[in-house]
Amino acid sequence: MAGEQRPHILRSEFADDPEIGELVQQFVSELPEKVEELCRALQGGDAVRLRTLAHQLKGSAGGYGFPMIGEVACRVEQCLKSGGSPEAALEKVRGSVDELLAICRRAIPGD
Amino acid sequence: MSETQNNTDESKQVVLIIDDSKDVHRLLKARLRQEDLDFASAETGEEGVAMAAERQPSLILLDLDMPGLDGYEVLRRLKDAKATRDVPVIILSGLQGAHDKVTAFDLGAVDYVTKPFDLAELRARVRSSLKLNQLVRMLAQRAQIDGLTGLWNRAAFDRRWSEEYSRAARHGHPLSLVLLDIDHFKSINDTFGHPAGDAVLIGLAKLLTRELRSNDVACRYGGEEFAVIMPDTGTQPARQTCERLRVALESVVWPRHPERKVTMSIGCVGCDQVPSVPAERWLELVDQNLYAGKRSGRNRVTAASLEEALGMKIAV
Repeated sequence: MAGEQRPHILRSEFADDPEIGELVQQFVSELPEKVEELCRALQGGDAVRLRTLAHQLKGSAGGYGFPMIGEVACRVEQCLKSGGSPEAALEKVRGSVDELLAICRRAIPGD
Repeated sequence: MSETQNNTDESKQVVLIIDDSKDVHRLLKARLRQEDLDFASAETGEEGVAMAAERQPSLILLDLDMPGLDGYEVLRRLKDAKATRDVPVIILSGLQGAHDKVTAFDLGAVDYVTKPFDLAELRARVRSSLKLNQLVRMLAQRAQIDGLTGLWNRAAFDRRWSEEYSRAARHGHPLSLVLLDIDHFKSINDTFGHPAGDAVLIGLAKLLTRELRSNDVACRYGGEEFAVIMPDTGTQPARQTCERLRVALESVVWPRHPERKVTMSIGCVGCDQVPSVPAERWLELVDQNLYAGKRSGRNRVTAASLEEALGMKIAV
């Protein structure tokens, strides 16, 4: 039912938007791939790649109706920006990345 | 105004999107679909600069935070090239500090939208920029006004010079023609950036409007060159006016570069009776005087009567 938000599901705000409904579906279908890339980057210790991925997600997620994803991605990016050694940054960011992965996995385009 | 812009009123306007994220491209195109536009896409700064020169868009949406060539540098390059200088640029960015916005505007952007976009805001800003650009181009073409300085453009000059020459030829009224060329203009652009160069051009145009009489005709003749037609003005008064203009420009303190003065070289040829040569030849002689001034040190007025100029005796 519209407006009902089951806690483990994240629905796009633009699910019913005629202009971008299809694009939202496409975005969601591509999220698993992005999730995988994020995982790879974190496990491989690639702070630069991780930051780029987070940055891109931050810039686009809101437009597809997932502002929460954008916010978490922003936190990941901020963590990685705040200096210190790459190893320290990666440790610090682990929590936020896990949060980002979790929220991405909850995303659906609509009903 | 760029003479190479060829978007007519009948064809669709082209919007170029420069952003490293495919998601952003898709989103923008979908959201701007109802605006009746064509889109071009570039995913890197380099690609964006090249595509802008090739496609001559009516508007560029530029992401600031791209890897590789960053958005500010892209903006600089767009504004440095004649082909793309007059295309309005709206910055898209996740950066939100006022400082970033000021930098963007200083580099020549016309507007700034933060990501994630507010949809209504994005559309409104895009529409507004396109509309403004279209109006300015229409006005510039039809009114024969140079878009940057507000002076008459080259086409208007050609027409007015022909008219004033005919009047002088018919009645023997005094007439003088002046060409002014800013000294070392390229180095001002190179050293202080394109907005500084624009400020100089606009500043000089204002100075001319202020110092000249209402029936003098001031035109933007070329990139850094201006022409002034002075009806009912003989060589001597024209020379005096030119000297006054030269000193006035030299005295200006420029906010962007207070330590660096701007000067110009001025060529002037006047005639107090019916002219003995055609209009084009007269213009050539003014040009020769101008370049004599450049060769002998710049920041000077090289003025002569038509007779003197023909006799190759240049009075300074």
